[in-house]
Amino acid sequence: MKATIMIDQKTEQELYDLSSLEHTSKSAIIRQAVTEFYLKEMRAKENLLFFVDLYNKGIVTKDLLLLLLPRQDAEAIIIGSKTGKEAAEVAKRISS
Amino acid sequence: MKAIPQLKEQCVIPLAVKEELWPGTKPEIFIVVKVYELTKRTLKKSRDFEKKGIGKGEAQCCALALRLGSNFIVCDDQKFIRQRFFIRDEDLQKIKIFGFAFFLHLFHQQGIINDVWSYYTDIISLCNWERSEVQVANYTFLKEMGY
Repeated sequence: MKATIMIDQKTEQELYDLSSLEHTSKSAIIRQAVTEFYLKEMRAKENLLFFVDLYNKGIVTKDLLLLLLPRQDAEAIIIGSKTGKEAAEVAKRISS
Repeated sequence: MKAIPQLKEQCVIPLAVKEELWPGTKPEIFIVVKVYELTKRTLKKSRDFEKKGIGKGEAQCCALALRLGSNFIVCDDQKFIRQRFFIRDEDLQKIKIFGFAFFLHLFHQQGIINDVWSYYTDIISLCNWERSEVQVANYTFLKEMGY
């Protein structure tokens, strides 16, 4: 598939810089960026709760979550797990 | 909602929540849920929370929780969960947020339901809460409670 893309000046400069640094064509960089984005989305779509378990067990850090998942999903895990843990602490206290 | 009357616990809601629920909720629910009208210092506290950008219903719930000394509310509002995480307010941080999973836990404890996970999955899917703070918070809560 051939595609025409519109990018702003800042992105164009970044693409140019990346191309020089990586010694790769601009289209290869765009393809790689799409693949990275796709993988992040798929990880979150199919395995979010797996990442929640890893984070809650301390196996995965906040930084790693932000690297592996889309920002929105990483934030959902960080905020949601803190909220859930706090609630469970109170619920256990009420029960005992 | 149908199972709430079977609970041994008393649910209390502030007037603002009743007003939000009223048009679409069966009136019978208000027989088992006690409605509390905020006054004086509690009402002022709720308005202070509102000034920080918190919704009226959530603000009244928090002020009421502080007033009653329970220090927790049941809320599955994604915006509020995020606000509580980011707003540095001593009183707001005292409030812990339970989600629908707390009710599942109570229903399970009291023998009203057997399998919490099937209800959890259905609710998350029906309410479109996949990949949100609400999903993670309720999942973490159930896991921490040993389900």
